[in-house]
Amino acid sequence: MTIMALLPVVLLGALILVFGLRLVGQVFVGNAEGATIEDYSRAGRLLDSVFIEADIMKRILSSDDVRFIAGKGTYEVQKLFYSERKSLALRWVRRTQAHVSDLLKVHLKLASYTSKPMRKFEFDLSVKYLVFKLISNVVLAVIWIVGPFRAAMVVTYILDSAGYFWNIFRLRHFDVQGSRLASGSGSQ
Amino acid sequence: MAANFLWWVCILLEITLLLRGISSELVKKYRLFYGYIFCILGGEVLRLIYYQFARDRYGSVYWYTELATVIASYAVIIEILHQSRRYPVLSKPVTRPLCIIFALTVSYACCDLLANRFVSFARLAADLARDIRFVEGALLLMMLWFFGRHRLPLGRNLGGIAIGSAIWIGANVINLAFLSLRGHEFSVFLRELLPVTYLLALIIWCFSLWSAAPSCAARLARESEEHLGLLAVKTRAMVTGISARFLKVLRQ
Repeated sequence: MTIMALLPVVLLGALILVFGLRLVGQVFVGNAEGATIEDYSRAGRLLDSVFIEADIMKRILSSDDVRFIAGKGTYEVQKLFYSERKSLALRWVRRTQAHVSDLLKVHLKLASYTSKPMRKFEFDLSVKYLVFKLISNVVLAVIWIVGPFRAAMVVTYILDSAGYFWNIFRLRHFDVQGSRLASGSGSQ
Repeated sequence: MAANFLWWVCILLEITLLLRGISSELVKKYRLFYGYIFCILGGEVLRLIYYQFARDRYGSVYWYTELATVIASYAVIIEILHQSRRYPVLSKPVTRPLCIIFALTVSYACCDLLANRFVSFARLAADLARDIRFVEGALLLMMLWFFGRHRLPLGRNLGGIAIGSAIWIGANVINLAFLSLRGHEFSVFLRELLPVTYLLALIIWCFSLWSAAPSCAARLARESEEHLGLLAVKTRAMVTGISARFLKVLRQ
């Protein structure tokens, strides 16, 4: 047997050990207090506050300021400006991630109270949360690598392209559906 | 010499665990777990007797007791599941797979036995013990994932049982995987490390089951089912648009 063939079993054993050690914190350190509806409301309000700041964030990432600084500011001022905006953008993304994660944690704690577990619902929620985690981490990496302004351009470009292709796909779909309906009604 | 010392220490800890369980009356609460410890202790004493007085038959006794203890270790999984029945979020999805998978493993082993026309009991015991361990490991992982995901407050007693089992079964699964690479340095190292992980598991069990800790019964909420249902819907509404809202802020 090769080591590659053993990999799933070794992974299983390693995961058991990791989850077991994680449980140590939960059981002996005592970070598994219960949750209340008040905790949930607080987590919800915190998450909302992140999006209330959306306009400020848009202003922070706007290209007007970049153009102004690029024209008038010295090299040191430009450097300071970029680094401050970058750290602000990174902090905002991390804060959003933390608030969404807190909300999910409280939700999951409350979900454990119910006597009617909704497995499909929980699975759906987990998938959506994973998608958010993936997107936010990609954004975080892009901001960290190319800076917040180029990151905003990248996000805009990707979303516009996705929107464009989605529209084309939808139009094609309608065309195909329409022609099928037409031929279907003609043959009857 | 060191192996013998570990052997004796483990036996001593198992006796201590059982005696403490009786004096703190935890035996009544965690019957299956203490049954498993009793089974291991019985097996070890039997092996020790054969090792000392009838070494020629030690090999066959070893495999009989090994298979018995591996099957008995399922009792620990059932115990954890039984004790966490207060949380339907865990017990409902795990109970059925536990029974189905166990039945499938035993059927598979029986078919294998018939196909190979009973080559040797040692071989059968080793294969069955390995398969059961893997299945047990998968089930335990599923349970540990649920505990972590929902942050279930298991309490010191049940939490200790789960942690000790995770360390012992996790190390066992990795060891069984490398056992096929005979002579491989890491395989030899793991085999030597295995009794130490069992000792660690026993220490955790002794520590967590030294006295009865308050159970987590109070956790089951004051919150009504309708409230919890509404909150679930609210979370879904919040999380559904979260990626789009997030990207919208970054869009120029």
